[in-house]
Amino acid sequence: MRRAALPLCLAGVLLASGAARADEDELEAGRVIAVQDRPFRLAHEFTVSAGVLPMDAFYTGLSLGGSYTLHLTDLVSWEAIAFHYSASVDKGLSDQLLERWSVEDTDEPVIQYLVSSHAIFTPFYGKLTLLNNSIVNVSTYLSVGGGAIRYQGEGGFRPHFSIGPGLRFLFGQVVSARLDARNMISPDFLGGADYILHVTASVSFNFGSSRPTDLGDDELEEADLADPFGDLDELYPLSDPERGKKREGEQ
Amino acid sequence: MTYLKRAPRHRAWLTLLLAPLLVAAEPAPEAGDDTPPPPAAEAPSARRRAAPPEVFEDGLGHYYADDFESAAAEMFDYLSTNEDTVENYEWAEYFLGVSLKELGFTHAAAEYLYNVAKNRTRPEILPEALEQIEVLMQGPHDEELLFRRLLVDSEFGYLPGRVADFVNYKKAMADLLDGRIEWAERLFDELPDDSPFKPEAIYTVGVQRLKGNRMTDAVKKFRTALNHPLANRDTRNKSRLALARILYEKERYASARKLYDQVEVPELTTAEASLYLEKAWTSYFLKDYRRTMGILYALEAPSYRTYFAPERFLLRALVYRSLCHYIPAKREIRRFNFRYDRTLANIRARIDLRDDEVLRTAALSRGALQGVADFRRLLSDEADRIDTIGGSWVEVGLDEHLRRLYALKAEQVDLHLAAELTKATRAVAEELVDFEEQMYLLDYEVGLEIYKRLRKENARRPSKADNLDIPYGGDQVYYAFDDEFWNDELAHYDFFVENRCFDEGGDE
Repeated sequence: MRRAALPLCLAGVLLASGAARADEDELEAGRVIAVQDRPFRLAHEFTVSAGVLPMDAFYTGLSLGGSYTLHLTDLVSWEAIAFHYSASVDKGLSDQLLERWSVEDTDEPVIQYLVSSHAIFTPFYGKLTLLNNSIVNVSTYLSVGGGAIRYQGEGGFRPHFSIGPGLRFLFGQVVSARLDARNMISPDFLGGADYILHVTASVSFNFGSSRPTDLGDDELEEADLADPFGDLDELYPLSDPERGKKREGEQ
Repeated sequence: MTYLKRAPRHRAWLTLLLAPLLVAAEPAPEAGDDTPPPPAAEAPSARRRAAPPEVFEDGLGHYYADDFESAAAEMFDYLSTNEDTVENYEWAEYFLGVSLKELGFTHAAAEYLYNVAKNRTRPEILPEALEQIEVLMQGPHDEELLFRRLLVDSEFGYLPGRVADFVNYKKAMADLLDGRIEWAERLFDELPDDSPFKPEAIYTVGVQRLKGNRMTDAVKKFRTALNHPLANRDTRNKSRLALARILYEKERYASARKLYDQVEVPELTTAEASLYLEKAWTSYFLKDYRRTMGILYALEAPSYRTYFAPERFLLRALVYRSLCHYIPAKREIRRFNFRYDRTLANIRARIDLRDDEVLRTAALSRGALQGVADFRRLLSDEADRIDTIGGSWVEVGLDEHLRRLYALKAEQVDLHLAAELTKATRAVAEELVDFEEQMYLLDYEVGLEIYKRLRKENARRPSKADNLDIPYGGDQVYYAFDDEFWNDELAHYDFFVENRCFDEGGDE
């Protein structure tokens, strides 16, 4: 990534030795910062995902799901609900155990679907150049949350706690692509806990740009209040080409 | 008879079928046409026998099949091996010109289309040729050939609407340039309101009024041009720029900046650099020093490095002085000296100013010389590209002919540039010396201010502009500048700097 937003830079600078001295020197003659409006503003995001649950010796889960995320600010958003259905693909280990060593595997539960909710923090935002030709905006985030896992058969429901990084490529105000890796701990009431890794690739569709946390009108700058043509009318009252037409209209 | 097609391109097959019939409908070549033509100027054609009418027909077929390379070769073959009295000679010139234009050899195209329009032996091609010339004149072109010798010095007789407007507009421009103001304005007035040249004509009259200090009239013309429904982007931008400059002169800086912000110029061009500089001055007088410095930093980008603007150092030093950063202000003055030291030494040594790279580049990027320099670059680019086309062009000698044509024109333009550069570089040098004097004066003033005594109770109160906090989130994203210029950021630089002034120092 070419550059992350300022918080990352600041963190790096603060950690570096002699940073305070450098800052002082910089302030001496000022420093340049490019202040740009974010090109895309997410509000209500609907996501379609395909993923994999690779961390089990006996089966791999192929998941298909979707989620809704409410973006509160550019830093914080809430993935209110996510649902992933998992189809398990047998790795053949049970058969191998049975054929070679006549051992039957224990009755390990297989995930059928997951329901979850996450808080998402997006401290990193930046841009990449694509073949020195165009710019792709990217954000990296951390999801923290939890939910319930439904296991096949008599496995029933179990809670899970989840944390994991994600990467988002913004292609426009509406469409973005996401890559998520969520590490889940699912405690077993009978003892112990399962570790589950869920990796998903998603396409997101954003609708709207106004958020519930938006405040009132932004303060207008002096330049916004300026009225060039009003000033021209004041300086040169006869310079308005519409003046004659306006008078005729009044009469 | 016409070989021009008005139907959409997908019906080219129909024209292909009809082309031989159209040729056959023309009077048959006389017996005398079979005799070998007199020796032509080009060596290859001198060795070849006259191309028969079938070559023209083949060329026409290739032209309508969008195979301009073959079409150009065949049309050139037909032209170079026949006398100019041969059947379809003018048509061949026209198709050769358009084919060369489509292949990107715009100067060669202009030469052939010029012949068609100047000779006018086929009046039915004239409007088409002039339409093509209008397109060619939108890019770098031979001003003398197309503007002076063709459009100004020719009487074309009747021309259809748009083409007539184009010619009249250009004739009016020539009148204006030659000081025949009334003639020019009469021609401009005669342009109909629904002509696409009308807004540009109104703008040009506005500039004329401005020169005559008839401000109300000038402003009215610019506003009319800006609001004209047929005004193109270029005219709208020029009108905005003119109005912004008038507001700037009248010290209505906020309004001027708002108009400057609406001007759209091609990215990373001299025009953009010039616009940035004007915005920087406007922001400076608005006391928006952060924005001023941001714009000036943008001018450091590699794309603008050759843009001659010594005032950027002056303006930066002025901003630092206004914020009571005296050492950085002095540093900017030293930077100016470091940047232009060699050029100033050359001026004092009275060398030929055209030999100084800085002065030469600056002179070539402003005024009328910029157009000539652009045309010279175009000649080089197009001449280099001749080698990329071989085959049929080599067989008929078109490549060699174009090489000679471009070399001759390049030589002519070089002579013109050399003559004009003396005057232009001198003007730039005088400007630079003026800035040097201003920098010395500023250096002196900064030196005085450093030791100015102030009372502690006069310390200024922090204002909104002093807020140097950077929020963690929000609709804006902050990229700390790390000596890497990104084109999309150039217009968004903000300069975070502490104002160290006491009350007296903060204001001008």
